[in-house]
Amino acid sequence: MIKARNLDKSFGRTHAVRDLTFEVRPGVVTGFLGPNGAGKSTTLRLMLDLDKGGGETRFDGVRYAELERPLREVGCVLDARSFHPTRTARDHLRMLAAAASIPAVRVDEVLDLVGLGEVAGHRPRAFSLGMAQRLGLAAALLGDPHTLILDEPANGLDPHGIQWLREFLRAYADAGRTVFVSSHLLAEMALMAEELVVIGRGRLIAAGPVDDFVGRFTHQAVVVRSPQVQRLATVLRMSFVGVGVTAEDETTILVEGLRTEQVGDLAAAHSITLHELSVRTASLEQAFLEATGGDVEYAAAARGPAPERVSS
Amino acid sequence: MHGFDAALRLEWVRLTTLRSTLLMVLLAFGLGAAVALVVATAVRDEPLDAEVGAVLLTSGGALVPLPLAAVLMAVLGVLAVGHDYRHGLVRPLLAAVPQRSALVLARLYVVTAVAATVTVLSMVANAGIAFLVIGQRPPLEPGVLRASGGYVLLVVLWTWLAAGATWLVRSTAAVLTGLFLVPLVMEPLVQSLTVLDTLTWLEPVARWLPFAAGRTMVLTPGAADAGGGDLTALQGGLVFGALVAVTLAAGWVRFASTDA
Repeated sequence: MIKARNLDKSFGRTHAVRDLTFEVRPGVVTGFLGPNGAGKSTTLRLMLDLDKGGGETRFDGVRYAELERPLREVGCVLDARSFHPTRTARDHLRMLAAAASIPAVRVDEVLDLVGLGEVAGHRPRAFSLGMAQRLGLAAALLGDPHTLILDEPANGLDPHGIQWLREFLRAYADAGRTVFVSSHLLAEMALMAEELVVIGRGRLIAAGPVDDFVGRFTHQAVVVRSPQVQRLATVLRMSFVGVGVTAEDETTILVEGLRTEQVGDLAAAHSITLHELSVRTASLEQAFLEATGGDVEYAAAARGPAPERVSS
Repeated sequence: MHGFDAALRLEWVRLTTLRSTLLMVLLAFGLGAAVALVVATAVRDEPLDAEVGAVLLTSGGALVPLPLAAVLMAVLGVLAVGHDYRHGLVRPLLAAVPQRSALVLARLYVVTAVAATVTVLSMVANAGIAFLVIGQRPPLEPGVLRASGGYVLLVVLWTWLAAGATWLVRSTAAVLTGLFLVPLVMEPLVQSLTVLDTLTWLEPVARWLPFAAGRTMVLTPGAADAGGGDLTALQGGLVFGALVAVTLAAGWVRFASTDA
C-alpha cells in the first residue's frame, strides 16, 4: 500500500505539485494520468524522496529513505535511459544489486525475464528505447519488490512488448503487489489499469476505479434503432422528465438518463418495434479529456480556418 | 551510518565496471614509470640524493604544476561523480541507496582507496625502475619519506577536490576546465604579475595560492620551492586542504539537500 500525503513542490514561481494526497492499494494496477506538465514525474520523484518538497509518502507504513533495503521493497523506473553507455547491461544491474546484497544469479534471471538475456554482456549505448525500457524494468525487478513504480514504461515498446508489459503488470498485481504506472497512452491504460489517480496542474482531479472515473466525467447513452423512432422519442419525453433524446439519423436516437431496461420496457408497452438497443460507453480518453480539459499546461493553438488566398 | 555498507558495495562495483577507471589507473602507472625511467636514465652516473630520489619516486612530484598521479586521479574523481549527472544515473543510485551522505562517504572512501593504492604502487614501481637503471634504490631518509607521504596525500586531496567540485557544479567539463586552468594558467599568471611595480600588492595573494601551496607537500627539505614561496610542507598542505575542505563541504551540502 502506498499512501502519499500532502505532496507539494515548487520550482521558483511554478507550483508543480499542490497538496496532493492519494493512496495506491495492492492487488490492482493503478494508473497515474495527467496532461503534459501536470506534475506526474515530479510527484513520482517526491514519492521516492529524490526531490525535496513538502508532504510524505509511505510504502507499507515506511518512508522510502527509511527502508532497510529499498530495492527489495520498491522497484522503480523513472527514466529508461539512466545507465552508463559503456557499462554492460549485466554490470549495470550487478552494481544496483550489490547495494541490496542481491545475488548475481538474480541479475541474469531478470535480464532473461525482460527478454534481454542475449544482450546481457552488451554495452547499452546502442540499445533502442524499447530495450532501454526493458533494462530499466529489469533493474526495478531485481529485488522482487512488493511495490512497482513505473514512469511511462510502455514508451518505445513495440505492440508485442506492450502486450507483454500489460500482462506482466496485471499478473504482478494479481499476486497481491502494488503497481503504480504513469502513462499518457490512454488506450493502453484502459486495458491495463483498474484504478486511476488523475492530476492536472499538480492537483488531484480524481482517484478510484477506472469505471467510476469514466462514469463521472462522461455521460452513458442508450442507442436505440427503430422504424418508429419518432414515436418512441415522443413517448420517452412524455414518460420520463429530464430524459435526453438526441437523433443520430432517421432511425436512430441516443437516450441519456435511462437504462436499457427502461427504454426496452417502454417500447414494448407501446408496441414499438426495436432493431437495436445497446449501451454506448464513453472511453477513458473521453473521460480524461473532459476531466483535464481546463488543466492542460501546454496546449497547441486551436486550428482556425485557412487564410483566404488573396489574388493579386 | 545507515546505508553505508550498501553504498560501499554499490560504489565498488560502480567504479570497477567503468573503462575510464582502468584507463586512468593504467595511465598513472604507465606515465609515472616513463617519467621515472627518464629521470633515472639522466642521473644514472650521479649519486642519488634525497631531492632527486623524491623526484624519481613521485614521477616529477613538485616540479610540475599538475602532479601526474594527482591530475589522473582527479579526472577519476570528476568522472566518478560527473557520470551520475551526464547519464542520469543519480536517480537509480539514490533509489538503491537513499541515504545521500552515505553515498557521498562511500564514494570518497572508494576513490580514496583507489587513488592512494595507485600512488603507492606507482612509487614502488618507480623505485624498481630506479634500481634497474641506476643499480640503487632512492634513499629512504626522512625527507624522501615525507615527500612520498605528501605525494600520496596530495593525490588524495586532488581527488576529493575534483569529486567535491563536480558535486557542486554538476558539470564534468566545467570542473575539468577549472582543474587545468587554475594551476596551469591562473596561479602562474598571478605569480608573474607580482614582478610589476604596480602590482606588488598581489604578493600576499601569490603566497597563498592553493595549488602551488599544495605542491610544497612533495618537496624534500631544502629543495627549490615549487611556487609555494616560503610555506612549509605543513602550511602548504593546510592551505590546499582548506580549499579542498570548503569545496567538498559545499558539494556535499548541495548533493544532500537539493533535487536529484
